[in-house]
Amino acid sequence: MVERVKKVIRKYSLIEKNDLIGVGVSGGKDSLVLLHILKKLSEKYPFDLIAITIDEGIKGYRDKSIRLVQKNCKLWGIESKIYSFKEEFGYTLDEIVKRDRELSPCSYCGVFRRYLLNKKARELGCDKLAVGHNLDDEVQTILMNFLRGDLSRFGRTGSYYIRLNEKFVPRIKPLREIPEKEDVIYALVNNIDVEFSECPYAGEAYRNNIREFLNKMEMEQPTTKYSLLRSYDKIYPLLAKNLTKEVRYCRNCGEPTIGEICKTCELLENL
Amino acid sequence: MIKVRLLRENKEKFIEYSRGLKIEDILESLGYSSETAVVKRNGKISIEDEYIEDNDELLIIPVISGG
Repeated sequence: MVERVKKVIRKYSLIEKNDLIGVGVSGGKDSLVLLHILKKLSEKYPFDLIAITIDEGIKGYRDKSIRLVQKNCKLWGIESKIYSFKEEFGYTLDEIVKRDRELSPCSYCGVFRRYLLNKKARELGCDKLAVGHNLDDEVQTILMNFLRGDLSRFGRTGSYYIRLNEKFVPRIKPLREIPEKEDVIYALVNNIDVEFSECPYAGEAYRNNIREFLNKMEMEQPTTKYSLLRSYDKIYPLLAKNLTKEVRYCRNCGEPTIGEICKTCELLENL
Repeated sequence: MIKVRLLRENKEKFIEYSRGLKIEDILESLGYSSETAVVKRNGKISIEDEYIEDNDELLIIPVISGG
């Protein structure tokens, strides 16, 4: 599997010589597998790693997985930085859920987490931000956006990044072609202590439906998921050119955004 | 008897052994498939079309998004 990931990195030049790669690590199987593989590769090739963890403040789940991050980073000799919603925004996700009963937790969580990952990776001087999205994640997202008619999101799930703005740290997804199940197997075979459970707030019914559908198709027609990704990759260069929007700076915090204020500030005002 | 430990549900179940039973049959009866679970049989990762033997111990590990 390390070879396959290496191939993907080479094919799309995801990592360049002397890069400092910030790895988004949650403690879940994908991000720890990603960290483990990148650690192996960094011992042979000239690049450095730093693990960046965002503590959303989800009791009984995130605190558990963060202990795993710390344990594994210590074991593998990787520097680990942890930032929390509480420190940066003033609320844990548990508190946010109590304050706003209308918007789903995921709506806040995804936005805040990505905002922090990008900002901190940039402040730490990272050249790239690596995240653990696997084949299943990618094809679910591709299909979801396509079915929902969200074409601007649809144009953003590519194999290589297009740098829209200097304040964005380019995101790379080295596990993009690896089926989720293989992440589980890799973790087991290599005895990596990972968090196997799912977020207590996870309830995105739509994505679950898509996941079930794709799993069913894969069982009937093996390589469905991979072919879907390949088809998307072929049209991605056209999408990326035509569907991305212009980026400005949030008048509140200065972070890159499409509107006047960024989504993070908008959501914080909501609270 | 086959002992099945479900990691996600944090439960243990006992299933009657019968000849010709495969791992994929057990998965199906529990609401899983080869796409949604990895199975360890007596401590070793196994594939779906393996036959079960009496007194086997299975561990069902879910393939779930999250990380």
